[in-house]
Amino acid sequence: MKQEQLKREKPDYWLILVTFLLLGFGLVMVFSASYYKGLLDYHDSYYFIKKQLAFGLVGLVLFFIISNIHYSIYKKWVGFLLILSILLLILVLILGDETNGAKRWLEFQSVSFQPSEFVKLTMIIYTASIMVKKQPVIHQFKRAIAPPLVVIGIICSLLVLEPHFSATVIILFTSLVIIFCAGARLKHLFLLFLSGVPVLLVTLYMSDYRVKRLVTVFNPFSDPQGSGYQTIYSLYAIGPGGITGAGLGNSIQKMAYLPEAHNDFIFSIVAEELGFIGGASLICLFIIFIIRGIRISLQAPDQFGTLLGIGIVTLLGVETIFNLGVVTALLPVTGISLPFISYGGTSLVLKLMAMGILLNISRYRKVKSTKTKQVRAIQT
Amino acid sequence: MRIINKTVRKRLFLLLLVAFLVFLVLLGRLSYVQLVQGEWLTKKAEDLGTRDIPFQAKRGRILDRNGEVLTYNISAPSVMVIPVQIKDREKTAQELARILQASEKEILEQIKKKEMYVYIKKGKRISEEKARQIQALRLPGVVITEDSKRYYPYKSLAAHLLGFTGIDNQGLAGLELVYDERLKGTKGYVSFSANARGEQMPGGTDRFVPPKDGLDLILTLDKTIQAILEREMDQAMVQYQPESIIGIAMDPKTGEILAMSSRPTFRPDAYQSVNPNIYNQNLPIWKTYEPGSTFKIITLAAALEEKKVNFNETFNDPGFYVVAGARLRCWKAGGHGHQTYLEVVENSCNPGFVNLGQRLGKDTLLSYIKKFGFGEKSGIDLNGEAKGILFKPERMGPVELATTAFGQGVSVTPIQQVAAVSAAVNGGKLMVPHLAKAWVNPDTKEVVESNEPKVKRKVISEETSKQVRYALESVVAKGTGRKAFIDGYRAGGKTGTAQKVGPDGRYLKNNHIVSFIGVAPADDPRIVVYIAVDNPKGIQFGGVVAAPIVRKILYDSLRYLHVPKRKKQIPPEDTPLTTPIVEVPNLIDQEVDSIKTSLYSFQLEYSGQGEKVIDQVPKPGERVKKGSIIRIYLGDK
Repeated sequence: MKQEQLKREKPDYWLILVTFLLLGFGLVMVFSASYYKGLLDYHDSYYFIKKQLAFGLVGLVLFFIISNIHYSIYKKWVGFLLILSILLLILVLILGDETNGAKRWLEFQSVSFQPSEFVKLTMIIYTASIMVKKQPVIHQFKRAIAPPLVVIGIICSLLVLEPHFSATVIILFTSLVIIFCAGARLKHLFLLFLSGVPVLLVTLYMSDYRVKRLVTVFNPFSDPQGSGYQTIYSLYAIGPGGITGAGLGNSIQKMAYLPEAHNDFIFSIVAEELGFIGGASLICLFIIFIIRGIRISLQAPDQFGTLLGIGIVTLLGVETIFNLGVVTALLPVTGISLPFISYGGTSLVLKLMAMGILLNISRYRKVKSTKTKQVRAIQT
Repeated sequence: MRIINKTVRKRLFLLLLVAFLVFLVLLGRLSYVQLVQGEWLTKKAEDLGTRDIPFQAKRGRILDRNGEVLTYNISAPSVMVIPVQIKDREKTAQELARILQASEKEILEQIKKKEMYVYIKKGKRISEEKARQIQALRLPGVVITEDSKRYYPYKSLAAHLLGFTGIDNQGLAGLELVYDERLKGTKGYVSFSANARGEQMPGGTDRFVPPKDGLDLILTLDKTIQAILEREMDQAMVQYQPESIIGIAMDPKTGEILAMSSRPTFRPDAYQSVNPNIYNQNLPIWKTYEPGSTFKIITLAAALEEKKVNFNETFNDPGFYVVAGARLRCWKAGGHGHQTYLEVVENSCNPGFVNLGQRLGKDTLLSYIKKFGFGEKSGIDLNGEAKGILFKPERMGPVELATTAFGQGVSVTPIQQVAAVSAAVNGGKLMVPHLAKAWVNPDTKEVVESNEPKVKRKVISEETSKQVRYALESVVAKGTGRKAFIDGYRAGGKTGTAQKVGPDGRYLKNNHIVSFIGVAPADDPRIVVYIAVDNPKGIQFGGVVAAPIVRKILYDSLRYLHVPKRKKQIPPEDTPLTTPIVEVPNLIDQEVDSIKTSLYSFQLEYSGQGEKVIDQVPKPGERVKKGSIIRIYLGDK
């Protein structure tokens, strides 16, 4: 183990390339999509892109710094990170800015910070490290699975209090995937899944607006003024895009018709301006990222690296899937943004940091006889 | 460690596979939305109309054949809001609710809509007073616009024909509905490229697409004749208190409807206040019932055309006729005895018509009934027309043939009867009854399209038609239609007294639809008038109830149409019920004393002083009822 740690190789250039492409794509699209809103709300077309650029720069710097910090260091800081997360989540409940009935943001002068983004990354680190620790007893539910579930449960209940259901769901899902990949017994996972379903249904029905959202997925045109509104306008943007799109900057729906055009629904604008070619290329970038990410995880020198890597890939992959599902009217409207592309400083910085960790893991890959085997496994 | 690694690898691979599949689904969905639904969504996105402010087109007017306007638009103020421009929704809703006397919640809901503009429901076509009050508030985002409202100057006149429009001026019934597409025109727009907040977009261009006003509709209807018809129907409603009355006046040569109405009726601008059945059932085209004796005209025409009868043949009516063992009775107890076939028609003698039916045979009779348009829609340009029911040939035995011949056992609509009788008297052509005469461009007054009379088919010959006219004139002059006689106008006609079938399928007792169909003048028919009175109080007999109504309508209409009086006509036969008509003698220049002794049949009224008559009213040679008053002016010369 120690030997491998010292053997630092070249990073995965594919990952760097994909990161840069996503970041660049995102910045261009945020500018295009927010141009008009900035002019309307702040009399400054560059209002949003200036902020996003600043965060992008900070994120990029952090990306390179973190890619040079050995990932095993996070194992030692897990306790601190967890406590910090809980503190931040409590703080946001007390001091948070309330918008649309939810407290999700902490304001520091002109910069706002979304703790849930930080918590997502913490939970990946935590789950990965504890599952490594529990390997010897992995087949015992009480000793291996139950303790992390308690911690995850505490974090999630704090998020539900905000309320921030989308983050809760994503954290739950990501943690479960890590536990799954750590080798937990399928029986345990299945039982866990069964016990999770009623909880999910109850939270769904607790507030009927979520049920209504579900209904409108299947027919957004049934309630064009209410819950189907965003979905319809999203389709109005995507549909006319056709194969080649209206051309960069020529979106009509971003003219304040489609709310959150630069944020959760930015993909609609991508599809409208760049057409199917642009939209499909973006999706392909994400697919390349997932393939590279899983490859890096597989080649990680130790299990912590593998689980940490798989956690990061899952987080980004699930967010992408949820977001694309929403904008193409396959899933009910949830407030999940598209990683790297959507406007949002905290998210961008944290996602770049996660990429930094993944890149660092790639530096220590085992290039052994197993390599050929793995490649074949991926290709089949 | 190795084993675990293997499971981890397996699970990771599974994860990759799932992720890959999910992304494939997303790609598929994207291509479906963009490439398959793309066109449809593009159209919908453009149709949003959120960047357009509509300019309503003016709805076309409806005029009678002489240019008398039967309905037009008057403008009324309406409240429109532009939701994104409203600063304080609660206050706006509160103020509007107060003035419009509407629910504040409802208005708030409407102004919260994510639309470019919203017409407030309770704020449509409000009074000028309220409009001024709202304008005075100067609420941002609240606009008073001019909205037009349909106006029917003659109230309920021709209500069933005109129909009415809804809150958005859309045709809901009658001609307003049938011709809605052409009456309503096309909306225009002021398009300005704006964002969803209704603010003008930088660098956008304005565009004005003018509305295309709806066309004016000229009807075949004659407002004066319609008024005459409805006046007589109203009087009959009072006099006989029936369940309903149906009236139709048509030009037999062209199929142009001159007047058509039914009672009970409604006012198009207040249609909500009556039972929906009243405006939904346009009785002259919707109601089906046994026609009764008016149907004998069809049997007669068929028999004449097929040369199965001539008027001079004789027929003996003992008061009944035995068909396949069934005794079919004549309406007159004891029968009409020996008579010619012309008298059979005059007397509306049932056994005589049964005999005609038998001479024709069921196939021939049925084919004529169908050729005359029964069992099919007349094709009039109104909604809700019925077809009626005929016997199926295979189910038509000798008894059914016999009853059909005098108008029982078949079910027809009033408009079918009018069209059929018109064909019988106009030279044999079955015309399509119609109401729309022409379409006129409201600006240039140019006729865009005119409807020419349409012949459905030739049914009988000119010669037969002439004989039918003669027979009908004879019915009025000498027979059951005596009460429709108009001196000099050669009116022909036929009575009808139809039994009604009750809900149990049996004939109702003392509940008849009495009718009369009249046509005049018999030598050159200008107008056919049909009146049917459903269950009148008192005597239920077509010749007594309906004939006098038709007489008045014919008389007033013919005078209004300036139809010259004829010199020759079938001389009317006097009956104890009628007063003979005589010519007024010339009294001018005669001595008063000599008049007094000679003119016993006239009452005289004197004016002035003197020995000699210098003038008189009516003038010499005019025809008046026997016993009428003559006013004479006296003077010394």
